[in-house]
Formats: sequence, structure tokens, C-alpha cells
Amino acid sequence: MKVKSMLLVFGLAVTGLFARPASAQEARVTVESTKSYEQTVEKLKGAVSQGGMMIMGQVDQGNMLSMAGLKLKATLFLVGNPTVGKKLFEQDHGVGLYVPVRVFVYEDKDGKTYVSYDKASSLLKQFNNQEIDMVAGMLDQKLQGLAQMATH
Amino acid sequence: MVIPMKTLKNSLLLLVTLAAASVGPLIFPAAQAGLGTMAQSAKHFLLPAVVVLIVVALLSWKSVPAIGRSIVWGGLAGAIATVGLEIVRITGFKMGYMPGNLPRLMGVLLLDRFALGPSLTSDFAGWAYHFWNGASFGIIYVLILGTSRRWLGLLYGIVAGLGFLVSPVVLSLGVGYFGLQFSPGFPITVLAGHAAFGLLLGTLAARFLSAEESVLMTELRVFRIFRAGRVS
Repeated sequence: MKVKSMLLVFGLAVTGLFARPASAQEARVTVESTKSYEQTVEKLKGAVSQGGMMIMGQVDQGNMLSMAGLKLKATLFLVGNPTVGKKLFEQDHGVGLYVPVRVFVYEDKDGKTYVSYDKASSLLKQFNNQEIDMVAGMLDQKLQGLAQMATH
Repeated sequence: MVIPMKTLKNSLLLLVTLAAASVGPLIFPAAQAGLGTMAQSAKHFLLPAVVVLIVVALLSWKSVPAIGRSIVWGGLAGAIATVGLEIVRITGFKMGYMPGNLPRLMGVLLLDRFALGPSLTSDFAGWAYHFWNGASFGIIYVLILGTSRRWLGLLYGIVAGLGFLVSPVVLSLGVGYFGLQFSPGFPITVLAGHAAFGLLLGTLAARFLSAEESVLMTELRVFRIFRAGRVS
């Protein structure tokens, strides 16, 4: 019995060490692109407007970090839509922490380009609001579509 | 005894010049301390200060040559001396002793485009600003310390470097006290760069202006003479 308990504790500890937080696993979506970094960025910009969204902000992290002597290709896009934003903000002003959503395009060390984002539904479920959940579900679909269009 | 109007005018001109020359070096640390943004400060304070210095230099060139010449030759000496600082700084940066390329950072802050990172225009703005700061320090050096003692330039440069190390700029870089959390090479590079700047500044200012007394000391002496005359 004592051995069993010890094994159980050991097993839980090992699982805890190697498992990523469930919420992080659920939230983050990373799609590998078949295109180059530059092409993916261009395709994403086009896909955003085609998907009825707009780029509200852009952080060129690669260029920014060149000031610190680091060379990489990475751009963060703040993607949103005033109508969708209004629906969310009407429910809870706190959604501003997550809206507009962040879409990240980067070239990894292996030279492959990825489009990455957090599922809006995972980020916004903490508000426990049906209206927000509904809009978040729609945003999930839009983001999935954007990522597919940008990477293929 | 009444202080002559000319003396008062000269003193006022000196104060205006010193104030205008101080604007450039101050807006970067001020912005990092949360006092406005560099883009706003450049528009509202730096550009007017540049205009003021040009106007004062032109107006005083013949009437108060000590000030006019200090602005032109002190500024030129400071700008050229910045090359010495840059050689040390860039070497330190390439060797990994500096957390970032400061003129490039200044450029993106000046043009308010941090999120987009540096561009050719922002790099130009950053470098221009850095050299303007060198010129400003050159003007202040000549006006306050004169050009008769070259070694004062070295001391002046080191003090400026120490001032930078304890300024809000270093604090905002997140590299700890004196930048020691980043690397001991950081304060060494900063101080060596500013020492090179000071050494060059002292030498060049003396060459451009020959051995001249500080304008500030001259003005203070005049005031002291009048004060002594009034007391007696």
C-alpha cells in the first residue's frame, strides 16, 4: 500500500514536470506555412481583409530586436474588427486584454515559417459569458481560416 | 552701483545658450523617466532649441563673439568628438558589451515607430540626434569650462559617462545598477567611450578656439567685481 502510494506520488510528480499547462495546450494554435516568411506575411495581410477583419497594429519584433543585435524574422499582428470588438466590449470591458487578437508570423530556427495564435474561445472563456463565448467561437473560425489562407 | 545693461544681456545670452544646449541631452533620459515621449519632446523642445542656438550664434557672432564662437566651434568639436565615442561604442556593441544599439533606439523613439523597428529614416534621425548631443555637450563644455585646460575635457567626458550610467536610460534598459547585470563590459564601454569623447573634445576645442577662458567664469567675475564695488 505504501509502495503504491509512493509510486502514485512519483507518477504525479513526473507527469507534472513534463506536462504543459492544459490551458496553454488548448489555446495555442501553430500552423506551418508552405510559403516563405515574406510570402506568408503578405498572404496573411490579404487574408485578414478578405475575412472581414483588419490589421489594427503591427509589431515588427524581428526588426525591433535588430537593435539588440538579434537577427530573426517575426511580426506580431493585432487583428480585429470594430463590430466584433463592440459586441465583446459591450459584454465586458475586461476583454480588452485579449482583443484585438494577436496573430504571430515567425521564421523558426529550422528556417520554416509558422503562423501562430491563441484560440479566442480559450482566452475569453474565463469571462463566463454566453455572448462572449459565441463571438469567441466565431473568432476561432475566422482565425483558423486566416491561418489556412496565409500558410497555403 | 548698477550693473551695466551689456553685462546683463551677455549673462542672459549665456543662460539661454546653456539652456538650449541642454535640451538635446535631456530629452532622452526625460522620456525614459516617463516625462512625455521623445517624439513629442523633439517637436516641442528640441527643434526650437536648435533654432534658438542658431539664432543666438548668428546674433552674437559680432556683438558677443565669446558666445557665438563657443556655439560654433564648441559644437563642431563636440560633434567630431562623438566619432571617438562611436568607435568605442560600436566596438563594445559588436563584442556583446552593450545591450542595444542606442542611436537606432533613439531613432525609433524620435519618430515614434518602436513597434515597427528601425528604418533608414529612423537610423538617420537617431544618428543625427546622437551627434547633436555631442555638439551640445561641446557647447556646454566650452562655455562652462573654457579651452585652456585640455585635461578637463577628459574629466568632463567621464562625468558625462557616469551621468549616463545612473540616468533613467540605463534603468529603462533593465540592465541593473550601472548596467552590471548585463555585463561588466557595459560600464567599461560607456566610460571608455565618454573618456574618448572628452579627450577629443578637449583637444579639438583648444585647437579651434585656442586657450580661452570659460565664458561663465568671465561673467561671474564681472558680477563679482560689480558686487564688490557696491559693497565697498
